[in-house]
Amino acid sequence: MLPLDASLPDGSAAPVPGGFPVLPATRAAGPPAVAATDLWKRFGDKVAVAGVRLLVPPGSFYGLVGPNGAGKTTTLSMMTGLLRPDAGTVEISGRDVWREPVAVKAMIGVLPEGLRLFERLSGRELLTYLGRLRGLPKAQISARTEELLAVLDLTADARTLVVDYSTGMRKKIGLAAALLHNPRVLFLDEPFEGVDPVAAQTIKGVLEAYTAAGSTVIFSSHVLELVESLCDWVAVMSHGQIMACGTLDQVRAGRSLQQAFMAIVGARPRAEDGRLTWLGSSAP
Amino acid sequence: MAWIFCTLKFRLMTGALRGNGSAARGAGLILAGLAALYVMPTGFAVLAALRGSALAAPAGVLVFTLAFAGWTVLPLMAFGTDETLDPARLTLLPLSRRQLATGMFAAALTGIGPIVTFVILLGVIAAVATSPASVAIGVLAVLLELTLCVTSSRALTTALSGLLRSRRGRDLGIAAAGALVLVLLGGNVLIQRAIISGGLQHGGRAIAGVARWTPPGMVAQSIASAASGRYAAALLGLGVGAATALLLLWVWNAALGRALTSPDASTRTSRRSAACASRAANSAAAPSAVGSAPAAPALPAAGSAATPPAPSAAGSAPTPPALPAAAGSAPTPPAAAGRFSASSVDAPSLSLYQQQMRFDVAAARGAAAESAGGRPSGPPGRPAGRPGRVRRAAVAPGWLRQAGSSRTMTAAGKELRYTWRDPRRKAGLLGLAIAVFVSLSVTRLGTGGSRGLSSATGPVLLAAAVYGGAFAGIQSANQFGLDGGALWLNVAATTRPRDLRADIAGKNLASAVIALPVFTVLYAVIGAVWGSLAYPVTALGVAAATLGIALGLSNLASVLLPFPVPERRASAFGGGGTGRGCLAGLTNLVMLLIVAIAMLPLIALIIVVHPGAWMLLTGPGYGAAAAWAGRRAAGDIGFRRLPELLAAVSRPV
Repeated sequence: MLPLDASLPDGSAAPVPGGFPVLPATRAAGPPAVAATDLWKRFGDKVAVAGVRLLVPPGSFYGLVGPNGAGKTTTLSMMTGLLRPDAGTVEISGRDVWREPVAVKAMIGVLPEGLRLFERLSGRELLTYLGRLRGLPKAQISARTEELLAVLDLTADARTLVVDYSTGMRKKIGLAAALLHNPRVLFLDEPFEGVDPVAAQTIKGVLEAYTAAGSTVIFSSHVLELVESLCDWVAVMSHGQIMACGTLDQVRAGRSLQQAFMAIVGARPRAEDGRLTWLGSSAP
Repeated sequence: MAWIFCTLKFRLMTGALRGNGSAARGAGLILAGLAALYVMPTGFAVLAALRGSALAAPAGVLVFTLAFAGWTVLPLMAFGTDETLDPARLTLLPLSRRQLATGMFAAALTGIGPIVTFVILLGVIAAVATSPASVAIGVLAVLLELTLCVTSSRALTTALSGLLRSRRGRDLGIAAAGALVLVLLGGNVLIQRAIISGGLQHGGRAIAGVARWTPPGMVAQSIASAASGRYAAALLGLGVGAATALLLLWVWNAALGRALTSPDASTRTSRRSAACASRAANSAAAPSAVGSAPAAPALPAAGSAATPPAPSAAGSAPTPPALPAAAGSAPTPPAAAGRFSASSVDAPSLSLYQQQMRFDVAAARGAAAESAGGRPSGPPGRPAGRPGRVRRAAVAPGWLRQAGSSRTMTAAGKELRYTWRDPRRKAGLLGLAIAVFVSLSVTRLGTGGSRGLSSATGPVLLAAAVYGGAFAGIQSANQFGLDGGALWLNVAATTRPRDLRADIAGKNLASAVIALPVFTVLYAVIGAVWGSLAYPVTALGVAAATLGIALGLSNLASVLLPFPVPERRASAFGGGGTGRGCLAGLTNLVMLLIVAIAMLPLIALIIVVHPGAWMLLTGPGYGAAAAWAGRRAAGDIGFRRLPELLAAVSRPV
């Protein structure tokens, strides 16, 4: 692992491993959109998340990147009240996720990994029921439902059961479900995984409009180009810890995000000579 | 909130009638509706006809107690609970514990089963109530009883699922199951004693006399109390019922809350076998490193005869890992495990499994080519069968080596691992244990000593054996449904009907490996208690025969009527969703009937020849033949429908 200060010539806002970054002036005032303090999660002997501290300024488009198994999904699950942390606290706009779950869940929208939906409802029915379960007024539910379906190109399939949706359509209806109640903070776990370019463009457009209005998006991805083009803040996770975080430019420090990421996370050993000799030997 | 949940559940049920794969679900739902239309008026009329009779009040108590017992135990044994509304999909919503509990309760009440129960319970009011006040108390009692039924089944299945998933779950779950079995056994013995000693009417009254002091019995009794003007007693009965219902609701809610915010820990043990796999891999690699034939490479390198590995590989340097995934023997984090559909198998085992599947295909092809007189079709010098043999050497000696690496054994091994790691399969085992014990208690094992060995007891033991064996076999009636989407791993490595037949044989073998020792121990214990072995030994043969027949039928049902059984975080007892429960139940009933018919020749033989040790050979032989035939037919049918089979079991529910 490279020393982090080496990657950050500007030491003033240097992300400290496991420490709080210094927040520059943000677009909106008030408490941070998300404040995670010393989050820990252990699965048996394996420590999945080891003391994560993260401050997400309100109004930011925050990217959480890291190799597979770095603990991104576990962290997001603990931040959204889906997985109980072993230790540590998470506050969304100043309210504790695990002490006030109802209030917090009303403020956040989540597109989780795996995306469990009620498969035997149609897209429109799904949104309608979620709206009713969230206690939104009926007129508002139907207006927002139709608008979301239209923007996400789902109107033609509004009467199709979710079980018959394609992967991209599932992501889009999941995003609609996460946005329906107009949350302050939106958590997206790999929102572009398995999504075709057309649907990805649609999702991007919706997210950009959402943050432009001052709301916060936190999303995890390992598509670094995407994070680079969308996010203004980035945190790099590895081995259950935040290795670097700050604005995109701070973390990049003049390199591409790809280069910075490799330097921060540390390159994997390449396949050495003598390994995988059998691979490809079946060719005639 | 309750109303929204009701309509949501209703919409989900009607959604089952639309979209892909709706035909079977629709048929199930319609069948269930028809059955309900028959059972509801019949049950109500029978109870109403008792009005004015001295039996009315005891009958009311019995109906309430039986309904409660049925709702509590049946989901564990057979049909599971209705998980049409999966609470795991509500975790993102800002719902308080109380709202969620209310809503889930309302949803649990929305369905055919609760309506049928409700109407039959109303029959008790018709039978017992006399005054307007007692009718009012009766309505309260019926609603309370319905609440007790629903909360009891949900609380028990959710709490047990939590136990099955937790790390301590194996011990606790087994202890809980043991306690449950004892209660059931005791109840059953009590009932039989009462009926045998006093006839159906007196016995029924005697049982009601005991049952009226249980919470559901007290609720039922409150109607009769109110009818005779003892309102204080009536209110007390309702109070006890309400307190019980609140307790059950609390247990359910707590178990649900825990299930939805904690990871599945039941796969934690996979680390140990991961270590085993990598050890096996290392020892498999060892012969090639130090053995006399350094050019004979370890498993995956087998295909590289044309490009021998660098000499250094044969030296002291560690050879490349025999299994690519063995290097990844680090513990599989449970959260990550969920991403892959074969979540209950750790990475090394999975890789091992896939390789065994593949190499078996390769070996078989090579052998086929050789037996056809030609050279192996692979690249020159490629030792088609060798890779398997290298690993075999590491696992077991002699003939076992040959058998142990066959596709059948691979499939059986995977199935046994899964049985240990998958909460849904453990739930099935629990149901099996309960069913077997209940069927055995019919033999009055609990009444003690040889006194129980009346002239009728031996045949009853045989009948119980038919039931036990059949129930054990029917657990496999949807064997691919439990594989779910992960079935593609097998499908990708299946090139001939023979492959599928081997997979099915492996699953059957796993079932037998679990069930037969249980039967053996049970009948040995019964033999020891009775001091006579003729009937227990015959019963063991009968159980083995019925197990085989039921497995054969299950094989056919598995390829003809497959349905997905998704993993659910809240309950391991959830079935295939709306319409599936009835269809699966009907399939099981038909299978039981066929098993009974198929057993007739054997039963006739027992009557002619007399019970004895000869059944120890005949029974298993008959069963094995039936399972073999079913496997053969299912393999051929299933191979033709393989894509449909995969699609049917991997569809989200």
